Amino acid sequence: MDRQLREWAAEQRLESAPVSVELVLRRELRARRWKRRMAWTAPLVAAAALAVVFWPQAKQEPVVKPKPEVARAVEPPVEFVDEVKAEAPTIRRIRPPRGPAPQPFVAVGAWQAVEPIERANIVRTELPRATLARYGMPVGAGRLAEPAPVELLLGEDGTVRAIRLVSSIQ
Amino acid sequence: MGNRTDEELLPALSQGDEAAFTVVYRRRQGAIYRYALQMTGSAETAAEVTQEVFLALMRQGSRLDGERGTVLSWLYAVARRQVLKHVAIERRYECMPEDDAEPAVDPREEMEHADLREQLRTLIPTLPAVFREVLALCVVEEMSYGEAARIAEVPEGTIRSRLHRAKAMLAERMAPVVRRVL
Repeated sequence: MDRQLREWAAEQRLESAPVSVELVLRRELRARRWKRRMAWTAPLVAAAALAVVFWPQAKQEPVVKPKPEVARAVEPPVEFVDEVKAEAPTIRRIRPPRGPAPQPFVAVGAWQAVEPIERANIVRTELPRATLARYGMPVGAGRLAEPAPVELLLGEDGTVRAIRLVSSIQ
Repeated sequence: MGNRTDEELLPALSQGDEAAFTVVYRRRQGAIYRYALQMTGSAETAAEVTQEVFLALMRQGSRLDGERGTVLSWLYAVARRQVLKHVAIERRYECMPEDDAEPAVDPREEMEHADLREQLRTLIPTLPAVFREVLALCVVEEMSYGEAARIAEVPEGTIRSRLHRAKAMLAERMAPVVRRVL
């Protein structure tokens, strides 16, 4: 009996599942893997698609960034002069930063001419060329929206007395 | 990858690695299929059970703990559940007596002229499921009593006695044919 059972068992060991089962399972595995990948890829793709759709609009939208002309002009001066020690009315000049030769100052506002003032400070900043053009500065007509480097002459009270171009911007 | 154990392949399996899955499948499908075949007696059902077992591995592979038990014993456990489901459907497992049940068809008449091995092949499927199970595990797959007991979820002694009884039943049923052949 044992011998026959062994023979029967050896015969049985040759049995195996049909190949179709493996094919079905591997197909299922691939499908599951694809689903799993899609589970986290889909939101990513959706986000990317949204970005692509909305990006050009965001780019075309004119971003109005008003240049704070006055605000910049009244920024605290680079260097303060000790008022107590200033006995005689003198004009202290702050050495302008090195660079191209500055243009002459042009008076602005009520200050038709730069008058002798007690103290003055020069602040370097940028202003839109359109603003400079309003003060009769020689700026090119083609790039009015672009900023240009200027120096502001600030009075004791912080108001802008005069402007000059740092370099020729023709 | 082929020389790594099932348990070592578990992390790759849970990541859906097709190569790892294929290695485990090709290594274990035969045992599962044969077990299902012995238990159900149907090649079609055995293929179905094998497919279900490995689908379960795909779905639950990430939850398997290689330290708590082998992948093979887990596969057998799933196969056993599937087989019981099929057997229950076919109303075979309801009458699983430990005593010597007479088969529905008496193979002795049919096997008058068949050789002993052929007769054995015909007799085994007529045994009650518990005996077919022990033959599939201990004789075909050459498992130890302990391993078979874990899979069949019975004490080791029960496996031992079932195997003994299965052999006795086969010997008894084969006796008339043996006499005729000799």
